[in-house]
Amino acid sequence: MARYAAGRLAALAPVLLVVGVTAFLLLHLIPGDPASVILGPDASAGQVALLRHTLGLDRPLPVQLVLWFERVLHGDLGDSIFLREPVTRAIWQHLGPTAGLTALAEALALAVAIPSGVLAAWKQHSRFDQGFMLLVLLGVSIPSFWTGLNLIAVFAVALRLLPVAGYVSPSHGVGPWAASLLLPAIALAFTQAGLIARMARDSTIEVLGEDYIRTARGKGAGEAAVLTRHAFRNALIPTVTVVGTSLANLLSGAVVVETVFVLPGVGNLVVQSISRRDYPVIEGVVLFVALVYVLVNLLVDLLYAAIDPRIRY
Amino acid sequence: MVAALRCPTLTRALACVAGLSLIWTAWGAAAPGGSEPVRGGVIHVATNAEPGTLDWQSSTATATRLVAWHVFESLFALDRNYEVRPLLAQSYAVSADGLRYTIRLRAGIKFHNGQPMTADDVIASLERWGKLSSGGQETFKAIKQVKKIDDGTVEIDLSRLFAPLITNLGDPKQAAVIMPKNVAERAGLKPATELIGTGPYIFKHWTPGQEIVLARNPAYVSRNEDWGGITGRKVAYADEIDFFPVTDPQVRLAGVTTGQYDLALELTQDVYAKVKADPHLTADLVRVFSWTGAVFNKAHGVFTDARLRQAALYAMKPADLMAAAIGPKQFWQLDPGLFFPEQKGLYTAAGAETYNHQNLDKARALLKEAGYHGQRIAVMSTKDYTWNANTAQVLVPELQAVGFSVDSQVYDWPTLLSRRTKQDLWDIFLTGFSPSIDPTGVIFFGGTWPGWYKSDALDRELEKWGETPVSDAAARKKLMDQIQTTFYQEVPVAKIGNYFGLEVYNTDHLHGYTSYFDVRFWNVWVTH
Repeated sequence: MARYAAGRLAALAPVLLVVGVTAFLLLHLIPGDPASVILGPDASAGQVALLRHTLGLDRPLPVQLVLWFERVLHGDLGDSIFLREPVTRAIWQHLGPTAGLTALAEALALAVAIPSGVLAAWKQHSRFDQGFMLLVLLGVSIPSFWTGLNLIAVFAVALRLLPVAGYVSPSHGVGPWAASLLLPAIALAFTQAGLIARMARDSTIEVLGEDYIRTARGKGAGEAAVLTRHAFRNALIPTVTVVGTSLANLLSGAVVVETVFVLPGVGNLVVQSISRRDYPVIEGVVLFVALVYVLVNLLVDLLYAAIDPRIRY
Repeated sequence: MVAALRCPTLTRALACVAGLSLIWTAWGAAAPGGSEPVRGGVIHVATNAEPGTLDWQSSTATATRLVAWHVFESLFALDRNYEVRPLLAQSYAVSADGLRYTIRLRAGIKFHNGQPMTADDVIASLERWGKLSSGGQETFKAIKQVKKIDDGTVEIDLSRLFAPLITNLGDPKQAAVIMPKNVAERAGLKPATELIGTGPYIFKHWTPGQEIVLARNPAYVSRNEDWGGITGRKVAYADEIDFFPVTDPQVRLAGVTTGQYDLALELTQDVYAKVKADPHLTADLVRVFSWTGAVFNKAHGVFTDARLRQAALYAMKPADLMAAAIGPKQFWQLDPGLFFPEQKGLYTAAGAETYNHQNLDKARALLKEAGYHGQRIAVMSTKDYTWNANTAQVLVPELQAVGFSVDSQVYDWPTLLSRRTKQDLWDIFLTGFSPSIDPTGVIFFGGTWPGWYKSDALDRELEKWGETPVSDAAARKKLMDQIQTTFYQEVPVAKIGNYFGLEVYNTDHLHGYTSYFDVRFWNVWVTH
């Protein structure tokens, strides 16, 4: 297994290379440049040209690519044009809110989705199952910003229970920190729970039709034992795949929800950086997201083996 | 694993919801009258955009200015009537030939790092401004030298008469703010990262995407005059001003409704009725805000011919364009002025016989006269500003109606900014113009700004303007009429209309606030 993991990690290098170069070229091919954004709409052409030169943006593209790549090989993603700090530090700082939001949203989603998905499978075709399917459909269909705005209208504006938007760092206290993340986490969890619950229900239904479940029931095992000991574990593998994808998705920045709730996370960073054409940051974030996806997928593959002893690498 | 995750997280979250609800209820309940100024507290401001830099010499952006003018000050600045008055300058004298300006600096002014402000700092700052800002470059063309007489006196020698000197030194667009000499030199042509000024608030920190925090300057030495605007008496009542970039206008409104923010910038017009109905909120219509226009490419393509620019102007019906762009009528105004009616010293209605006179026959005749034969014209707009793309949706059919063949191109704002610098890529782009304070500062009168306007008539008029002393109001009025007439004859830009900004503040919390073209928080206090 260690060899398998090492092999997968070694395969990271070509993935990051391709992603990095493609991102760099695509970014520089789209029009727009940071100088005119910094200087504002009233700047003259001469001012823009001057700042472009100061920032080194007037050099030929291949030269910029080589210079950038050389730095990346040394582990240096360069400095942000706007934030005036190293890109690695910018990503690290924005990772805090994103990681917190991801953890809270995923925890909420799992807490709701797994038990309800398994129960719906067990009570297939019941009223509960039908209601459950409707909610799941709503969860995956309603855009998270809409859920977010409605949560703000109810819990922040009407009930005044939680802040409207903004992020409080955990250093100011765990309570205010969680309060600043709760509404966005619910907005995200609603969608994620829909995806996970559907998968949990479907795979449980499939497992419940297997011979070994009939055997378990036949030897007199109680329904609770059948569900938790025999069905649940075997139904987990497809669910873990979905959870893995959703985790990678959230960790690479919940762009819309972070924007609505003004959370300074990775998603917000990338949106802001795109509108400012802050090339080093966008390139850095793209590499980071590629890394997250590869690592999360590896983790999911390793988890398969832990859940199902028949799987060996 | 699932159970282990669920319990502690939920319990904690519920506990914090309960705890927080108490805090929020308590906050909402406390709101004393607020007629007497109170020191202390924090002003929370929800802004619509994060600035690219806070160096006010470097950027023309509004997002930069409204934070930066709490930190930085210039020698001269605008008063509440948009006229220039001294700020860091004590007084100034002009020699009889009009070529030598002697500026006395106010004594006892200190920078935020404790260093006293001297003539050396002023000279270094002005020289940097002269290189960085377009207004500065224009001004320095007339300046022979800036020299120090003593620590408290600076002399500016001109090579030719240039009456707008003092006005330009007080222009808030890319302001000639004074910073310590070593800071100005270290920053050079790059946006400064050391933000050290003389203003009533000190820059404390900036967490990108999260907040910009300013703290009261305890050593601030205020003027005593009641001039308003950006000069005169300034008292920093609040301990801190926190600016939060909140992209979504609905969230900005929600935040000011709950009191999380004391003031929210740039709300959409559709919330006006809701705000008016809420006794805790005040809607502030900013009338000196912006005017929208269609900029023609005068260096390349069909619009090098002034007749076709006039044709486009006659094809347009400003009322329809403004209604589509902005919406309810109380948020816009049809006015021919290059300046706003509130700018009493500069405003004129010259050109009123051309502006807002849609005449399709005349437009078609001009097209024919100019020999236009259906060349495609590219009209660039952006969806990043709703009004902008909405204007294009009406403008395009209006142009087509008189015979123009139009290619409507909608881009994101940075792309538009970049494309408009290339002469062969476009014919018209839509943009908004924030207030200027002098005709020499009107951005599209500059030959290098996208659109590349060159005009002998205008150059002569601007030159004359430069030679006319500020004190000669009658001569200035006459010249202003001429300049605006030229603007309507040559149509470098087709003016569409003035539109108003909408800010909303929480009346329970924010007191002493007065409307101006951008938000200011000195002489303002909070009660939370």
